[in-house]
Amino acid sequence: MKRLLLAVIAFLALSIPVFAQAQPTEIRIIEKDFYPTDKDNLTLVANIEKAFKAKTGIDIKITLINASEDSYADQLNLMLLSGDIPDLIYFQGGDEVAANQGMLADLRPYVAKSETIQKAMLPFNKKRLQNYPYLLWLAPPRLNVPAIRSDWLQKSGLKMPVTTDDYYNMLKNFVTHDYDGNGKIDSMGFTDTGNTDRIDFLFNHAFGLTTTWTKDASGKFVYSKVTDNEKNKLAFYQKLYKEGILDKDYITTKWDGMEDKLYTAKIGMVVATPGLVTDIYENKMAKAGKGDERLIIGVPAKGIAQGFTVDVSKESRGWAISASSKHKDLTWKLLEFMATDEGQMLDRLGIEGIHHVTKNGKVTLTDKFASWYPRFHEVVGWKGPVDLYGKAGRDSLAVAVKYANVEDINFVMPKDLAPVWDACNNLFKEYSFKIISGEYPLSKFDDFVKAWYAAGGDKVTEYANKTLK
Amino acid sequence: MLRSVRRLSVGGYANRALLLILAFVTFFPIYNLVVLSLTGPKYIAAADGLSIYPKGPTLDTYGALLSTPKVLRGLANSVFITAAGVFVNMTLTTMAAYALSRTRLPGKRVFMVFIIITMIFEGGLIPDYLLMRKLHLLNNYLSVILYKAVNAYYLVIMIRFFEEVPISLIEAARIDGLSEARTLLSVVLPVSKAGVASVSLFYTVFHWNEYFRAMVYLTDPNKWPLQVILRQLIVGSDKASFLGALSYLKYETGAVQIDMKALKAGVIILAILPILMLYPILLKYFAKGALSGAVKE
Amino acid sequence: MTGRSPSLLVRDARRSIPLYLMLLPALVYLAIFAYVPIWGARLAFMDFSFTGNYTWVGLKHFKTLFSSPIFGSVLLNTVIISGMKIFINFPMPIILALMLAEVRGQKLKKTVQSVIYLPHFLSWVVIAGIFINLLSLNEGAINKILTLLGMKSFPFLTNRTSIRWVFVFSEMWRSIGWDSLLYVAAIIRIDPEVYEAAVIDGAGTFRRIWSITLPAIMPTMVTIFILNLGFFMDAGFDQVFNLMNDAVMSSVDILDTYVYRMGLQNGEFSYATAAGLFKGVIGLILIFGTHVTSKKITGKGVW
Repeated sequence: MKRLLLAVIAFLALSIPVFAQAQPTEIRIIEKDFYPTDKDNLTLVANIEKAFKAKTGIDIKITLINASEDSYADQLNLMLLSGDIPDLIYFQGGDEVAANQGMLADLRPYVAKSETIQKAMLPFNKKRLQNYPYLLWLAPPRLNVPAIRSDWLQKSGLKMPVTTDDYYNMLKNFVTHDYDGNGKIDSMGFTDTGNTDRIDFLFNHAFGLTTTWTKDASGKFVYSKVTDNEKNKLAFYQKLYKEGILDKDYITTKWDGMEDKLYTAKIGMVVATPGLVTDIYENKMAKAGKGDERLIIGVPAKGIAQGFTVDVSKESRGWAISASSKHKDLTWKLLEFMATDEGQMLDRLGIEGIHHVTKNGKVTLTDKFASWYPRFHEVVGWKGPVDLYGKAGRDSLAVAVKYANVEDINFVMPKDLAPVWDACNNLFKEYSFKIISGEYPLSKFDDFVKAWYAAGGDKVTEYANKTLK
Repeated sequence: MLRSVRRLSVGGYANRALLLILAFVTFFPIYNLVVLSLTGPKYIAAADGLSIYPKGPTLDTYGALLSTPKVLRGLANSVFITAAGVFVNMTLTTMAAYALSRTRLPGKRVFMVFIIITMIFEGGLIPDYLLMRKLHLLNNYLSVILYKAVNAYYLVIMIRFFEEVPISLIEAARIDGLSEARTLLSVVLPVSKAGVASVSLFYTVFHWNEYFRAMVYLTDPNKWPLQVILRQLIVGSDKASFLGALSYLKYETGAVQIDMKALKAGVIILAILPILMLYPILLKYFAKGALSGAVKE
Repeated sequence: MTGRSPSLLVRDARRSIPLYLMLLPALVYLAIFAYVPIWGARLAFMDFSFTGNYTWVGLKHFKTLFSSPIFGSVLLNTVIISGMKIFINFPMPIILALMLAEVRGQKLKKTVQSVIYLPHFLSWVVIAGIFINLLSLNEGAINKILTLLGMKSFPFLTNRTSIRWVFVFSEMWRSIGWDSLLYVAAIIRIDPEVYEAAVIDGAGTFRRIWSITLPAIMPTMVTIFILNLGFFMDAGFDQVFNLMNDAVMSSVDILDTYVYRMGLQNGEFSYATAAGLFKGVIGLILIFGTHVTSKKITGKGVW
């Protein structure tokens, strides 16, 4: 009896490692809108597990954690609080608190050893990682690129605009003609969404506003929004507003309102996120019109300078690996795999049969492809078996990458200066709108600068000069 | 009743006119949303807040919404959570309100302060969540059913209604030897129909509209109520309007297009429809003569 | 307690045992699900950390809150907007209920009653969209009508004064029907014979309302007024958040939107909790203050 018992125990003891090995390692991932109940997501995950095993020989089981965009920050915080921390976490803000408390893994050693990831990173991604090594985000730069209605441009007979004057002339032309054919001269040039952030992408460099903090004549750092360059830009915007080129309702327009204005041919140009989004805008615009309208992608306005500024202090969003994860290396391997050719094939093309079909080795995208977005990485420059973007999408991405030519000079605002900075920003928002809308004359800008410094801008400037080189 | 006065005074006409204007102004936006939800894809971009009839009418939007099993399951969850929740609400609230409406109750003031403090102060999401975790109620329907099970505001309203019950009725019940519980059930409740109906409605609407706590407490999406499901059809400003909705709906026919604007409108209508159907039932309790069978003063 | 002798008190308490039993479940519920989390709000006095090691910092977060350069204006905005809303939106549902009561004939009354509460069900995201569309400078229906009538269009949404009125009126539009429900319920209980007697005595409409209806719904009015004061510092976050824009920040930034921007978005829970406590304390003071005053003057309060 005793021997039987011993034999059983021995058998069990020996077989445990065997069983343990046969159990795939579970990797838990949390990302907004990456629902575990969504069939497509589950199919994708299964495909990834298979392909990962094929490439690395390792069995993993990917578990998705529920989180919707709506309350993503809250749900994420709750998870972090309750100690129930996933291995791979997508952040879109709120990561600094976690990083400061040592909850996120330093990704630099991983990146240093990974040729795949290094190849997939753009120069500013590398800089951001240097400055803040907790987030990885492989995606096109979050810039906004001008896209012009082809039919209106054609009717105007003008060439593609390059300089600020070119843009002004073209937009003025749009506004003074009836290109939408409704019998009224009521078209606008463009609009924005609650502020001038989008059109700033287009015009900042032209007015010499190339970095958030710039050196003034005496070599000290000064906030770009209190410089004369900003004043000149506001004068320009004021002119655009007055002449009906800039939508007078831009301050209350939200993103869906902006889209509506594009589709109903009220505006001739839109400044939008490059890639997928531009393609969608083009499609819907054409559908709402005759069908042959296109969006032609322009370049940032040329003036004193030309291009886009890219922030390199840190990724504003991205993937982080939990410092307390028991499978850090494996999680990294997964992240790296998704940037390889095999990984991107799965992530970018969507599900076979739904978003794309493969026949005789040829891949074609279905019309449902427009509703697919990559869950892990959108590696710029990845060449798939078929064009993932339309011409507008491709061109916009090309412009974004080509003209992202200036690294921003900026810093992370320390907590004790945050209230003062908030007050300063509010001051700018209010004055800028009042000047643009013509309620204030341009000369009020000088009052704004004084008020800005008085509200605490001087303290921030002092801090800037201490921190920035 | 004075039947002789058939003609309305000027004031009477003005009154009716104003009421009709109000009715129109409050009705129109909902009507407009219904119109938008029925507008076809070709015309939807031009449709706006003043559209009066759906151009290119189509039921596809509702078809897409209702054919998704998620939506139907959400509906079932909502009904369950609301029914169970209101049951708990009304039981706790009615009993407590009755007790607190009796003037002779010693310590009444202390209880009132105790209750009103809960109306104004809240721990917030994090302490609530941690409590649920400690009670092992996470991902359990109970966590949502018991969320704000006693609403101090509604409780005070109910106390008010109970206090208005004529003392003579209560004393008659006392003389007849009825217990407190019996008095509540047989005397006080029947006489406070309008008040009880109102508070029930408030609690019902509260449960029906609740989505945030449900989303956070219930990690299993199969348990999610309708509001959570519907809300997720409207993704944030990150992606262009078309993306998340379609992939979430899995609408099969490629030829059919669902536009975001119509979808949003349809989602809103669908979310409030069940409550809208409940309201007329409630109005019955507001008919005059709720005091029928009462003792004549 | 009133000055009753202890023995009477004990007798009352003993007689009230069934009542205490009825009260118990609610009290237990509140003790667990309300008070335990409220104890958690002591987070306002600590520095928050994910790892759970909280350090006591006393009034630090309150100091940060009060010392912000725009705290004064934020507080003022909150008070002004809340005040405007109470001044206008408190009497309106009452007036509506009175108007409804004056309507003879069920058909109109039923029709009106079944639609006026509808806007209450729309979220502020939706309602803000509606009002922004309505009041836009170029495209809004209201301005289009104004220009048609030969007047100049007015920037309702970007003018610092008018935006507050937009808050008040959009709130009224949303809630007047819903809020009138309780008053309608209160008016129902009035014995119709009292009205008849008054009419026979020659009382006109307004006399009737003043002497009969209003006194009858006075307890309800007072209760609702005082209770709502508890929420005075809220001023309606959802509404403000969705309707505000950069042009009018200085006049509509309220406590909650400020805290949201500064606190919640950066995971600063302690800070947000401190602000919540501050609001609650003010609300409590307002409730008890008005309750005591009201009792002294009218004999009626919240209880």
